[in-house]
Amino acid sequence: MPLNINWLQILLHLFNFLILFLILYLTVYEPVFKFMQKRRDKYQAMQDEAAEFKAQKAKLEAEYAQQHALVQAKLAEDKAQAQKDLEAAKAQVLQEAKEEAEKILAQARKDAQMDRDKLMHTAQHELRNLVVNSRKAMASRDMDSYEQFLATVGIEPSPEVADSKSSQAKSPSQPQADYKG
Amino acid sequence: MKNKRVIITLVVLIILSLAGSLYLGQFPRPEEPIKEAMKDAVLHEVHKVQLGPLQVNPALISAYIVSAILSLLALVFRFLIFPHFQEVPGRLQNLVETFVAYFANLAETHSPHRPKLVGGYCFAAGVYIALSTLFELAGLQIITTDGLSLALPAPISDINAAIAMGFSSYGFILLGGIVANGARGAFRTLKDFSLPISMSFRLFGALLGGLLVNELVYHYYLLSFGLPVLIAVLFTLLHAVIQAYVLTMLVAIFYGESTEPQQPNTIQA
Repeated sequence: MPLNINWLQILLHLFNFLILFLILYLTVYEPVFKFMQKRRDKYQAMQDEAAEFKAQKAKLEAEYAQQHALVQAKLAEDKAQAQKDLEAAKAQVLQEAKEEAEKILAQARKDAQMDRDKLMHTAQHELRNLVVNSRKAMASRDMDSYEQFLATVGIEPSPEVADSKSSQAKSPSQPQADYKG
Repeated sequence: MKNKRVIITLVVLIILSLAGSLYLGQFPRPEEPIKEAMKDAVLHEVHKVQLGPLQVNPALISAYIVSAILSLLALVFRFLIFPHFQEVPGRLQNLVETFVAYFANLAETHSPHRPKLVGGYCFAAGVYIALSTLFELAGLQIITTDGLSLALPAPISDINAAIAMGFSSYGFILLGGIVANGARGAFRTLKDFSLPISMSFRLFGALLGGLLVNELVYHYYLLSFGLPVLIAVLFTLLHAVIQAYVLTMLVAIFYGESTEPQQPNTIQA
């Protein structure tokens, strides 16, 4: 053959290389490749897991923010409602207190009026009785009795009375009752 | 102090080597003409190595030695090193993972529909091409059938090894296309019928270029001091990386093309 090409030697070289390929593939390339792939898969899984956690965290944060906003809104609404209720209750309590106070005041005024009327009535009655008794006494006794009466009730006879008494002593006339109450 | 001692030792060794070469160069020896040396480096027609009943090119022995070393290292790795892999990698684990991740990404990028197997193929092909190219730097000697001592060349510098790599890659792409898309996948691969030839000869030519320059340099023993370091870096280390990159890239691209699922026909209004 030209160029010293020898088919037998080509086949020998071919088998030599194919056997070497099998040995290198099975003992070096495939085990190392699998080892690297396993390691890469492991770190890829870790990376995917981390990314998933990150996405989940972002989702939870968004949900939390949304819920927080909702709670804040609800809280503000409840607060406003509570404030409103409080104002209403306060106004109602004040109104009731005012009414109660007016009622008490009216009752007190009424009671006071009643007491006053009663007192006046009692005083008038007693005064009337006193006058009646005085008249009776005057009728039954002389004018000295009137003075005695005045002395009894603690009233000094007025100067006019004293003058009239002195004039009465000169010219007896109708006795004149005069007092200051 | 330690560095100084190492430098002195190296200088002494270089001087001794130079003196020995100059001394040996005085004696007449069966000189192989440069034309013959170059022709044999390209065609491997003259110097053969006995392998059982067969007389084979030295590159086949190189290929077996490289494969044996790689297989042994792979088994040691699988049963002694890999069980101790940690989630946080150490230096060695990081190195291995970097290689595997590079070829896995290459396959994922260019062949996204069926990346796993082609990633493994590219890994094996890349490691084999790179290490077998670097193997010639070891300079292991072998006795040929005509009794000469010969430094084992890089396996891919033999046209047979390059053809084997090219057809192996093409067959892998073809099989992938058939498994993924049936006859359509096979057709997609077969329309690039020049692919195995281009792959083979690109690989062979690139490696051969480095080999020829090395042969040329080593043919004249006075050029064998200092210069081979530069030559080895330029034509061996770079070829090891570049050729591994090119072939694996091509395999990934064509495999991705042949295994790409058929797009549904769109009805145009």
